[in-house]
Amino acid sequence: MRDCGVVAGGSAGGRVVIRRVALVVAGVVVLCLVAGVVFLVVGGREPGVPVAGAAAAGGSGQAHEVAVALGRLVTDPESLVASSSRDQVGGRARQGVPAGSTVEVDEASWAPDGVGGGVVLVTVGSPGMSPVTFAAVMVLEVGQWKVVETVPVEDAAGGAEASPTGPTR
Amino acid sequence: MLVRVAAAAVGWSLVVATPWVPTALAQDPSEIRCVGVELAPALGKDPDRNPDGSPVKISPDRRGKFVPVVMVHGWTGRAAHTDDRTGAFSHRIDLSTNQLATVTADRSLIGQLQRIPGAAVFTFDYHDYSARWVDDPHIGPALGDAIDCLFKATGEKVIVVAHSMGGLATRYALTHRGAAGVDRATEVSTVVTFGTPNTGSLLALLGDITLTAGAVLNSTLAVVRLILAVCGQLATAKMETGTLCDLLPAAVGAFDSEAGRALHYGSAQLAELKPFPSGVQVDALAGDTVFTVPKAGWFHLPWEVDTVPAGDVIVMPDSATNGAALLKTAACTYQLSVVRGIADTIGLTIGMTARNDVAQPITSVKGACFHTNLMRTIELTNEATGIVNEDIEGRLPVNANDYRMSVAGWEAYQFISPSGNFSCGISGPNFDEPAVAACQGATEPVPPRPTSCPEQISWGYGLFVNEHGDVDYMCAGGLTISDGTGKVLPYGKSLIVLGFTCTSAPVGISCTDSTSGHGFRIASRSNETF
Repeated sequence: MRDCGVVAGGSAGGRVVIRRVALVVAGVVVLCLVAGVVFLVVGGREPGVPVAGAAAAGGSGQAHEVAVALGRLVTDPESLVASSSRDQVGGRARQGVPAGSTVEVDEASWAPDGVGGGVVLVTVGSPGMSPVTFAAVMVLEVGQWKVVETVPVEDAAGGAEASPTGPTR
Repeated sequence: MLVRVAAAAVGWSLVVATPWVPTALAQDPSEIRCVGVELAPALGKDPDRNPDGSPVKISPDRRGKFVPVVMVHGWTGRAAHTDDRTGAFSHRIDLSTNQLATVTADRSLIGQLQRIPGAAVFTFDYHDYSARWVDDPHIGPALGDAIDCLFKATGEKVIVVAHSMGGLATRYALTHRGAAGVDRATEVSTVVTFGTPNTGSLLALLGDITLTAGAVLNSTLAVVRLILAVCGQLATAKMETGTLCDLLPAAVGAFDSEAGRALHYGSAQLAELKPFPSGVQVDALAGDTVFTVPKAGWFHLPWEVDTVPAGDVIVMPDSATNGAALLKTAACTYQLSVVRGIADTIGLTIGMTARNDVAQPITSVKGACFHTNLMRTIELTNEATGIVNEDIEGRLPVNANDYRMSVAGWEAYQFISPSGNFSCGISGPNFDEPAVAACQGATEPVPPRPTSCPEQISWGYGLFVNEHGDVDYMCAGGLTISDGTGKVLPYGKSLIVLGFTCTSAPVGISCTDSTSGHGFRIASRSNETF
């Protein structure tokens, strides 16, 4: 982030000079505020974190744990199936995340539900398919993060949203 | 043609004890002082209004009496009816399950009940103790004591309208005897519940993460988690009252309490709570929300069904209607979609599947079927109002004109008992014969035939009482007081006319001369005179 420290004014002078100094200071402050807002809007959001087998960076500790756990989606998706979803998945977790898929977790999106779980955005790119971003409903079971259910994130047109950055692996 | 034969005004009679009647019954509900309840006032600052715009006023029924209606709030709620309208039953009725309907929000549920002649609405507020279980002395037992008091003060059976855990508090009160050992099932006629978790709350299941309760419930709980997570991101945002983000997080937060733990399915506390007594009419009103969650599944593996039943989002319909005689659900269907929010947040929108509106953010949709909104929903509040009105109306005498016979120059009325065993009539004076109320039909026992009743005329085929207070068995040839074609007088109803009161009940038909207090009760296998 750019330096937006206080800019000292010149030596004391006439009223005009003071006004000019004040205007300069005010202008810098406004620029800083605008830059800050722009940063918050376009730069505050971290890019997707590739976690396919790799540790994800940033985010809270819990978000990071979730991201690390989701890294196993590529290698061992069955281990991520929540107990309550086992009957529905019926041993077909690999169909949910086909071999050769890439997984990208947006740690910054992690939203705890307050009852031992939470939701995080995960983008899955699978061979022959466009990458899809899912909201994954997570639950902590005996110290292990598991996926209960996913819902595709809709774009403005109402369809499933493709990954903003594309697959990373 | 109606023929009347005077019977001998002598004979055998039974004297029965007069039933106990509470003394010094309150004629004005504002005079009633019962601990734990307060009369809901007709609001003055921003009143509930009648359809013509006039403020709602409390009025007695046609008997000049009031029936106590007790409003019992739910978990963490309030019931007091105040100008700020924060009570569970005080918000204006402004929601409908019909998404195309426009509701004119003139009044609250309390205001709507106050419009019923004879309804004296009281509130039972246990807010300060509502995190405790219903057996706490300030909740179930206190409600029971208040019911005892209101019954004694008015002489009328109490009607209870309860939301959520308030229904469980009522169950506790009605299944426990009061200090005087009174059976409270005899003091309450009707209970109306809104979203009462009779067998437990949906939210309590969130704590059981290894639960394998089936695909549907799993999806329901996943949706609840999704809502909670999204709402959690918006905790500091201003939320409209009645939206899911206003409702759910607070309820979940309260689950870590004595009451919350008791609301788990299969909890010991719920198991100990007895069902409502069989003599009390229980009508259950419930929310029945269904979310469609497009393409829900496990990543690229879609679920077979993407419709998720969620009840009122805190209580499922099977729990809310368990043990009730009459059920009414408010059905709402929504499409729930996950969208990308600003600054990495996850957003949810709710689309109304019945219309092609643009889906709204979850923080702005006030669902008619959501738990805390049930008492704002026109379909359910109309049902509740109808139930209370019917109960009170059922205590009133019938309209005598519906039972009037067309006999020129003579005032006479007739009816038939619900069993069809007795034809009864009330007739005015005719020439030298006094006004009389009588019921004819086979009854036993019958005393020996007096000499005044000739052998060729039927003896004991009915009983009569006349305006002088004379009571006896009838000595009559055929039907004399009616022609057998009258309307049925339903159980619990009275025909009051010409100085007589005839009441229909499962134990028989009773007719009393109002002046003397004398009369009779007649049934097929029993009868008595007094």
